[in-house]
Order: sequence, then C-alpha cells, then structure tokens
Amino acid sequence: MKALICIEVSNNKIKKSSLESIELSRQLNCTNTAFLMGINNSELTEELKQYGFTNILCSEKIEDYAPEAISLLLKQAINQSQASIIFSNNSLFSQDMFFRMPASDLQIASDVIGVEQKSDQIITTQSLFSGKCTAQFSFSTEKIPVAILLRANQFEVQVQPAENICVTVIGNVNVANKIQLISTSKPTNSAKDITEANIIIAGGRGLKKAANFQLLENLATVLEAGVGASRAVVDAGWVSHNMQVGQTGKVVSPKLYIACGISGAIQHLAGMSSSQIIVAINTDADAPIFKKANYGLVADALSIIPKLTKALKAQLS
Amino acid sequence: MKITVCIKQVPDTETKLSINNTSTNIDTKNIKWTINPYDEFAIEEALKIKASAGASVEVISVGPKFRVTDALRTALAMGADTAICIDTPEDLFLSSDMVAQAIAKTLQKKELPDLIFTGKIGIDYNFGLMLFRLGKELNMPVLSGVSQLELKDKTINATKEIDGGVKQHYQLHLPAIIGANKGLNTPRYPNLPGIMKAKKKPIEEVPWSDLNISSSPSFTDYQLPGSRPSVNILTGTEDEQVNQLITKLKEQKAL
Repeated sequence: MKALICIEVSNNKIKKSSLESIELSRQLNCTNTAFLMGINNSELTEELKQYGFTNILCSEKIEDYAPEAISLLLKQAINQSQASIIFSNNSLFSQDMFFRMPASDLQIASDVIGVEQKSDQIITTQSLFSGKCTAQFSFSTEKIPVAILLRANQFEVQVQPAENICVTVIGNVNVANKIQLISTSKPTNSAKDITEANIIIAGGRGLKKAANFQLLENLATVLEAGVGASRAVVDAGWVSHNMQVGQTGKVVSPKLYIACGISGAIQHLAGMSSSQIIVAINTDADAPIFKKANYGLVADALSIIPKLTKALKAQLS
Repeated sequence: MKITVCIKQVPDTETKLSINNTSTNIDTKNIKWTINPYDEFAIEEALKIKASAGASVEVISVGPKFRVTDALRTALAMGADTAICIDTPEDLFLSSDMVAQAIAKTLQKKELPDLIFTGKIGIDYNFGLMLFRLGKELNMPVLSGVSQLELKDKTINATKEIDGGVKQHYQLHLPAIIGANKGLNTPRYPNLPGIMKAKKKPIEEVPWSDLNISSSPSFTDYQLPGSRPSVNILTGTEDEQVNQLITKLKEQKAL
C-alpha cells in the first residue's frame, strides 16, 4: 500500500511529530513518499533521507499560510503519490489543511493513537471525549484514501538512511483565496507547544498568583519542557488559553507531566491522563490528582519546584 | 442580516463516563447534558453582533429532541430569536458529514444566513470537522479557532490561534462560517426575563427521516483508559522527596 507522509516545517525545522508516523507506516507495510509542504529546501530534503524516504514531493514556497491553497497542494500530492493512506501529525495547522478537503476526496481520522490493518480495512483507535475513553473506527481505502492524524509522542522516530532521493516539485497553485492572511504575531516567549512536548510542567491555583508561573518556566527551561495550566488559572487571567490542559483546552500525552498546585478536576484529568508518568505536587493529601498520579508529593509546589530546579541544574551541568 | 448558530449538546465536563454494555457508545443514561462550551462563545458572538449591527439570530441543533430542546431553550433564553431542532433517533451515531448535510439541507430550504457561527470543536468527539464540511455544502469560506473578531459591513477581520501561541490575522467576507474559540467573548448567563421570553419563542422541528441522509458506520470497541497503579507518595523532608523523585524519574528515563 502506498502512503504519503506529510512533513510540517516550523521555524525552518522539521517537526518531530511529523516523523513519528514513519515507523507506523512501515509496520503497515506501506511504501512512503514524503510531502514537504510550502518549502523547496535542499537542506530539509537531505534531512528527510535519513528517515528512509526515497521519494519526496515538495512545493514552491506558499505565500505564508494560505489555507485554501495549501489544501489544493495536498490534493495534488495525494494524486501524484497515489497514496491510499496519508499520515500527518495532529497539529492545528495540519487539521486546518486536511479538514478543507471534500469528503468525496478524503476520509479523515484525527487524534489517532493506534492503527491496525485487518484484511482491506484500516482500523484506527482514536481518543474521544478529550481522553475520557477510546474507540475504534474502520475505514476502507478501496475508493477514497484515508488521512490519519496521529497524536504526538505515540511512536518513536527511527533513523534508517536511504541511498538516493528523488525530489519532485509540485506545481504552484493559483487559487483566489477567499480567506486572506493579513499578518502573523508570534508570542513574546517562544513557548513550547504543549501538544507535542515530551515533558510538561503545569500549574494551578495552588501557585497562589500569576507571577509564580515563573518558577515553572525556570524548571521548564532546565528540562526543555512545555508549561501548561489548569482552567481555573486561565479563567482568572493568569496565563493564556493556549496553555490550558483539559477538556476545554488541550489534550496532551507527554512522557512526563508534573502537576503543581492542581487539584485534579475531572475535565483536567481527561486532558492529561494519557501522560506516561504523572507527578502531583499539592498540599492537600486528598486532592483527586493523587488518584491519577504515579508519584505524589504532599507539599507546597512553591517550595518544591525551586528545589527541583536547583537540583536538576546541578546534576545536568 | 441573518445569523445562524449551530450548537450541540455534550456531556458536562465534570461527568465521569461509563461505557454501555455492547461497547458501542458511552452510557448516555444519568449524564448531565450541557451546551458544548465552545458553542456558547458562538451564541454570544452572534448576540453581540445582533446588538451592535441588528441581526436575527437563529440557533440550530441536531440530536434527539427530548434532550436537545433544553440546549435550544437555553440559547433562546440568552437572546436568540428562533430555533430549529433536527430530531434524530437517540441511538443514531451522527458523523460530522451527516450533521453538516442535515444543517445544509435545512438552511437551504429558506434564505441562507449571512453568517454562521459554531464552536471550533465539540468536546465530545473533538473532531472540529463539521463546520468545514458545512462550508463545502453551502459554498462558504470557513475560518475556525477564532479568538477575536470584528465585523464591519460585510468584512470580517479575525484572529486565529495556531500551534505554539502564534496568532494569525485574517480577512474574509460574508457569507462565511466562523468556528469560535475561547477568548472570543464571555458568554452571558440567561437571566430570568430571558428564560420567561424563551418559553414563547418558536422551536421548529425537522424529523431526521425528512432529510434523506445516509448513515455512517459508527465507532466500536469503546474502552475506558486503563488505571494506573496506586500512587507512590514520597516521604521525608522536602529535599529528600526532591532527590527521590529525581532518582525515580531518571530510572524511568523520564528526564
């Protein structure tokens, strides 16, 4: 079966989450073509060689981000590669691109955590109700290809260098965009995207005030982690909504989640319960978060976090 | 100007879910249902535009009328003018495509709205796909994840947040479909006069069978996540706990 693997580039770097489906695709016995979107850059195509790609489709630079144009490029890439399965990460950028394809051209499964093949059916396991349960969906790839948007951190990235690569540039797309991108603002702190972070330090009301989030930022710098937050502190205006973990925020699955001063409301637990290891720090021994944690510290996060930062800085230097 | 807001009912976020005995759905008995939180931002934005620019606001929802009517009454109590309930059988799985087709067919029977608002995703299935499919059906541009919006005459200037906190500023024109994100506004609570007025506002019912929409295969094998072994509460002084934690996390290669 032929697969198209969509490679998202951010700040001129290939996103690790885009590479995580390669191993899965191989397990499903697919031959892979990479689709490098919006960039024709030989450094990046060279980099893709080490992941075993022999065929790479790329496009000319798309004027910033033109949603309808990128979607048409995707359609071209699918046709050109003759792929029955299209793999991608589950980022907002990817979702927007895939969701603009008509149903007659593409079936879509998003926030996928597992894929199997049974005879001619592709069976996806998807996380539903913001992580409160999982369920399976069966797709036939006979008539319409299926796109699988894979949740981050479910699969390891393997290096398996290819000998040669063949790079094909897909034609430029001229479409009268009904939606015009006027400008882009980047955040003042280069916040690590928590949906793809390997380690997340999250804070709640137990941090007492907004300024104390700096303690989490300090630890996050040492660990190269992302910083998350509970709904309570987002609603109180301490931090921005894009840091919110939970059912009305983001669903995350890092390797390590450290919850500081978070009591553990059901909707918050839903958002982080698929973290591999959960550490909870809370002065209240009865806080529901301890029921979901692997390790618990019944202590004040405002005291523990600086100590943790200091100890780790010493050990890692 | 006519604004339509598409809303759905979802299990309340504090609900602990259980699976039905055939594993074909969550157990829908004993659930507290509420308006999808992101749809509340959609209703509120429509009401704000109604107040500033003058518009009629219609709310539409697809689902079993015995419970979905509650959600529509709440929206009417907030200030929407009319409502439509596309009444579906209780156990029918509604895919994004089915909902989009149902709404499109219903709206196409009369004058199409100038502006359609809905929440960027439903917190039940977390797809965020329906509004894009609706855009294809109605041939309207779609912008989702909108956290800031300004409407002047027929031009919309909107901000969408993408990954990493990056904000994109877009411009598009009516007719259009907008997916509302948190931060767009602060949804109002229905007040008592609103609730009383809502009782007299019309809710049109459209039976599912009238729409001739084919069903989709549904999800199977619903499972709750596995439980973790019980928590290991660290003991000793704070410094001792910190050192124990680091040791254990290193053993597990988490650092």
